[in-house]
Amino acid sequence: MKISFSFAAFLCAFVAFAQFPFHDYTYQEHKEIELPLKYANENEIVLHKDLKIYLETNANGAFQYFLYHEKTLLNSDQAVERNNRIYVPFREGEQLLVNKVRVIGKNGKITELKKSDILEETDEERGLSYQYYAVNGLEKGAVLEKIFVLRQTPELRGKTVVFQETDPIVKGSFELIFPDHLQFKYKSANGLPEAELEQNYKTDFSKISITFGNIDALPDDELYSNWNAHAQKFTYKLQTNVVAGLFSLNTYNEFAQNIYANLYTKHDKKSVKALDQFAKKIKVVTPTLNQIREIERKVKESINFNRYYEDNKNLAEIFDSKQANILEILQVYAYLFDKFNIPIEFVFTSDRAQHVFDDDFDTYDNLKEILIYFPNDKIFMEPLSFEYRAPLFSFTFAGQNGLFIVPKEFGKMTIGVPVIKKIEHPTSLSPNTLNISINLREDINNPTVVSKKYFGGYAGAQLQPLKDMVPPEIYPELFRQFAENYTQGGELLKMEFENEGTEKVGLLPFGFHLTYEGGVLIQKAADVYLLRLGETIGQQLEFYQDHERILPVEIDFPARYQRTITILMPEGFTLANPEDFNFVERVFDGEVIIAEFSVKTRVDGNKIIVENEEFYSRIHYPLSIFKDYTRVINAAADFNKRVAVIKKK
Amino acid sequence: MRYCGQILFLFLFVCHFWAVKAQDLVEIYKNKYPGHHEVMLSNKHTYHIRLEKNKLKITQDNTFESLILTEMGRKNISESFSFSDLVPLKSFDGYTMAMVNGKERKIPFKTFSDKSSRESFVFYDDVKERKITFSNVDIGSRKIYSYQSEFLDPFLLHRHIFADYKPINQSIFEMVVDKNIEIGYKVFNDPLNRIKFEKSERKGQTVYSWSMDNITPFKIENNHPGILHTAPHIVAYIKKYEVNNQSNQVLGDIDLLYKYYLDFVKNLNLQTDPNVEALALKITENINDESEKLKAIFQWVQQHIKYVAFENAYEGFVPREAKTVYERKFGDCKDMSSLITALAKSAGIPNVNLAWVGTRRIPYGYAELATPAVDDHMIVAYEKDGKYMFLDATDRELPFGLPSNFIQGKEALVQKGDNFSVVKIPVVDPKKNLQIESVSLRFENTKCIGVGNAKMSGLLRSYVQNELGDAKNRARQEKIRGLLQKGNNRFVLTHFEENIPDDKNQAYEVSYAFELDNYLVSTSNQMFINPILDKSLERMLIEKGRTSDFVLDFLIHQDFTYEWQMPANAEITYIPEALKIENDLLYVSINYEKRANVIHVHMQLHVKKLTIKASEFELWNQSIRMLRAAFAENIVLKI
Repeated sequence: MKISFSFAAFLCAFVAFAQFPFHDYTYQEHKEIELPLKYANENEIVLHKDLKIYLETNANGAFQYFLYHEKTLLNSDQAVERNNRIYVPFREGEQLLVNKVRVIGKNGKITELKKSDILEETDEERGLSYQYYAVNGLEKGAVLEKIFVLRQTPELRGKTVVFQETDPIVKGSFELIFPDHLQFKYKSANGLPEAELEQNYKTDFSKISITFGNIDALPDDELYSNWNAHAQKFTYKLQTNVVAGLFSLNTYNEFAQNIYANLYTKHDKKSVKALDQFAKKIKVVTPTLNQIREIERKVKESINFNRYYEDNKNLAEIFDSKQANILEILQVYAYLFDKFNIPIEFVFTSDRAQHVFDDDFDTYDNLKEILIYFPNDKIFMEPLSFEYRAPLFSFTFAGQNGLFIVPKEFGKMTIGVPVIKKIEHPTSLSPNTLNISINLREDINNPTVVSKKYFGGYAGAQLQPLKDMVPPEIYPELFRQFAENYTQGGELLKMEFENEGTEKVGLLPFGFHLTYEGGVLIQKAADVYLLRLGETIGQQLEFYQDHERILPVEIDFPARYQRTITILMPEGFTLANPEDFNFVERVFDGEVIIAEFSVKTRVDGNKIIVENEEFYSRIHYPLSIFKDYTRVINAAADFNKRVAVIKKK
Repeated sequence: MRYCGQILFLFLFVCHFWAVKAQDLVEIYKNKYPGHHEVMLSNKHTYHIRLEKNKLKITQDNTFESLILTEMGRKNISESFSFSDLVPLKSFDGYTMAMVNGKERKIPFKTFSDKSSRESFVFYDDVKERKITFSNVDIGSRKIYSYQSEFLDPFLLHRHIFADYKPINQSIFEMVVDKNIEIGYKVFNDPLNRIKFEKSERKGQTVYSWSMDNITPFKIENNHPGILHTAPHIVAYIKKYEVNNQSNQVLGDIDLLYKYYLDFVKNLNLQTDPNVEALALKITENINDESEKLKAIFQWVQQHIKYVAFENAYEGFVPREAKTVYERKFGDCKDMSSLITALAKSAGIPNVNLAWVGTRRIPYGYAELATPAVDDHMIVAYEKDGKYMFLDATDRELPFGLPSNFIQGKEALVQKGDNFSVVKIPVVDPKKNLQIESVSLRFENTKCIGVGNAKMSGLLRSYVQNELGDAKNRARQEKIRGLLQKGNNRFVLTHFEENIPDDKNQAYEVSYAFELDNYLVSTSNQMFINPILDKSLERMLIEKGRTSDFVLDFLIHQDFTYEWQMPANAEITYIPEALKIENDLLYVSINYEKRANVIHVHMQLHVKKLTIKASEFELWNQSIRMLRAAFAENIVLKI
């Protein structure tokens, strides 16, 4: 009986798949496409790119067939090497129904992918499989054509499809085909043509479609830019199901209520006991920031976050398995902060480097990253990152809005209410400081240089966790190489650290102190000494080469640097070119200075003191002020090359 | 009742004893390995080699035990090990010894998962990594796991390295073999004899055992030669075994190794494929010289066959048929070598043969250790008039006749039918890897305005072309700017024109114009010009306390000429002195000459050795300091 049932199920599945919507989709006859002149010299040109999604619903729910068809001309050997290995990933529960690839040679010879060439591999932990293969017969000048069809769970709560690439696209299309009792909300961005809705385009189905042509390549190698924010893309979500009588689907209200209920669910007794025992091990400290950090430290050091872990039967098991998935980790935090009477709001946002939070479109695509907000202290904590500690969190989550889930009491019930608010960078942290003293009195040919550098905030957070991650034998070696940026290869006499370790992240700046032989900074010119003073601050980024800027500037986080260089002058010598160490460059937004690099120099007895301030208070600098911005950046790079002329009085 | 009380007391005592013991252990190892979060208490690999039904049967038992020392160490809940088609996994187990309610308990591992494990340059191999995730990992817990593998090929035993990135309290390597099996072994990088060796008998078998205690984590320094050059390790192999009074040889000398390799290639390209033959004739059409024909073949393969490596099981040893490689247009080192030899054969070029070679990360020579551990690469050797040329088409930009940089100085095992030759691959002379630049400069206000020409040949050309790739427009300009940068990053490229000959034996050439603002330093009455704009080796002082050899990828000879046109109204008051350094490691010559109003600076420089040994560090640093002093000199003008 069991066998018959399985066979029947197999047969049904087979029949269903045999008639799937794109089962007869195949290659068109290859015709030479006349390339727009502006693309003719490119290494890779996408001749066409067509994406189709066919949404079906039945008693078991919704699923979609996703068709991807791309045809690319490869014009260089490196382009062939970048494209001759194809990986098609699919998740557990998805089926790759069509996997076709062919090469159309320069001479018109067509080589099709053989089934026997396809390899398959599974990453069991991540539940991800790949079909992959090397492409036969691919040479410079050939066209590579790929068709894949996947059956997958639809992403109806919000999906963004990015069309633009780092290579030009001659033409393309997108179609979303769906049962006509459904309605979608959608939007094109960054110059992608608007989509057209065609209701009842065939029996019982509607279609949203876009056709586009000549999308230029968008370069991804511009310094301080956000490619994803500016690429042409399309976002959609399911809004209405007429048959079900649901007219406002996938809203932030719905999200807030559901997520709040899930995070504050009633736990079983065993879990409550385990959570209480765990809470007892957490030190009670003041003020609130310290208590938050103590709870955060305890959770992050005791429980490994594993997105794919599904083996805990309840929260109590987390403390044995030492692993928890997203929901479990958040439930633990919700319980603990409640236990410690610290009010919190969960915040959902995006990583702006991947997808900027769209204020005008309430899709779940905006809600892939998670923070915890402490309204009393106005600080954030990142629950899923081990390296960050409150008040620091991934800087790409900030500088945009987020969805704050604010608890509201309605009678005996508390529900989560969605509020969109700005996530500010934690700017009140100590700045980066650098104090350098150069003792020319002892030995003008080889002065001892003492460089005391403090990396505050995010700069420190990149370095502090290394102490916990790198074996002590290797740790100094890592920093010895890093030190060369400041010592310019001068022999290192001493290297000291302050405030190392993850525990200090966001609390105290990381101290990195070097003492080195500065002979490498001294140049001789007959009886004059030339001190390469600027090099002591380390090499700076620069925009000297004048290129047309395509994307506006977006930096990671606001930053401030204060540097003081003290030169202890030898008796009878003077600085002959003080004017080289007094200058300023600024960027204004109206009357407000939003970026600056300034240097002032003064003489104090036998010391020359050079003071420098540099800051960038915004993360966005539009193209209209790009030139001003580069002047500030280049001022820092200029300073790095300034040479002090030390000569006899 | 009294009895129960005694048991309870004993139970509590044992619990207390274990609790104290776990805590003590943590303290002991925290003091022994300060700053570490976890210590590997033991790491043991035991080969069992016996004869079953007159055939070698090889299994390996592997056991690991580690102790968590700190709160950070609790994050390490997983361990991994590998297996493959030739080394299948027979069994595995893992558990945590952890304190639960005051008692030490054995808690089985929670989950395991497999995924493919391969090096980045390999497209497909059969090596899988099994990751075990442990439960109840806490300070004082011990993670223990074991697995048994079978070695299906007796020629391919694994080496044992006494090093890891964690400290190891004790590492043991054993070979338990039947008496009629003879093994060989070689110990590397143990100058202080820290590896203890014992030979004993156990249940009628011979037990060879090597152990090492208190192993601090392996340290990688910059320009490091690779772990096998410095980490203590053993390569063991089966020499022979006896069946029915008949001796069967396995490994031990080059003849045996060659015999093993020959099996992988003896049937290669026995049939001439008409397409391959036609291609050979087409490529060599109108070329009379044998070497030139081979050059055309080599360059065709370089250009048309893309590197894709399949390393599963014996695919890692057996080259594919030339016909297949030609059709697919991709392959690995063996496949490219197969196609080159087949094309050469079709073109009537004799003495073009396959050759096995170990890349520079492998420190062994064939005479020292004749096992498959010696090599990891295949090239083509061409012998003409008693001289060898080595062809490695895996580097798309390599000039014909030069070995790739990562096999310089190594030995090649060259196929010659049933015979072979071991031939030393030369280190490419720096005079074949030239960087010749001439630059003319003049001043315009605060700027130096310059025009220049650079020529790069040999392995330098190959390196540069691989770096430049197919970058276009702005990306290319930035790459060229980085390549040519003079003085400092104020260097702005105002124009450049490249000449990239198809023939990779001809130099890559780039003519350029540039501006360098604020390079000059001036006061009200003096100007200072630091005339050498390319300061090679300036930052290459070797740090004190370095233990490993300092290695370079390849040697370059640099020849730079700077012609500084002085401002008309300036008086030259100081010109730096010439410099010459000539020793075992370095050649440097810097000369200054004033001709009319132009100061000519001519610098020639090259390093003489690919590897700077620890005993040579002092001479090296002394030379670099002299060079730095010369780079720091300025021309002084009175204005």
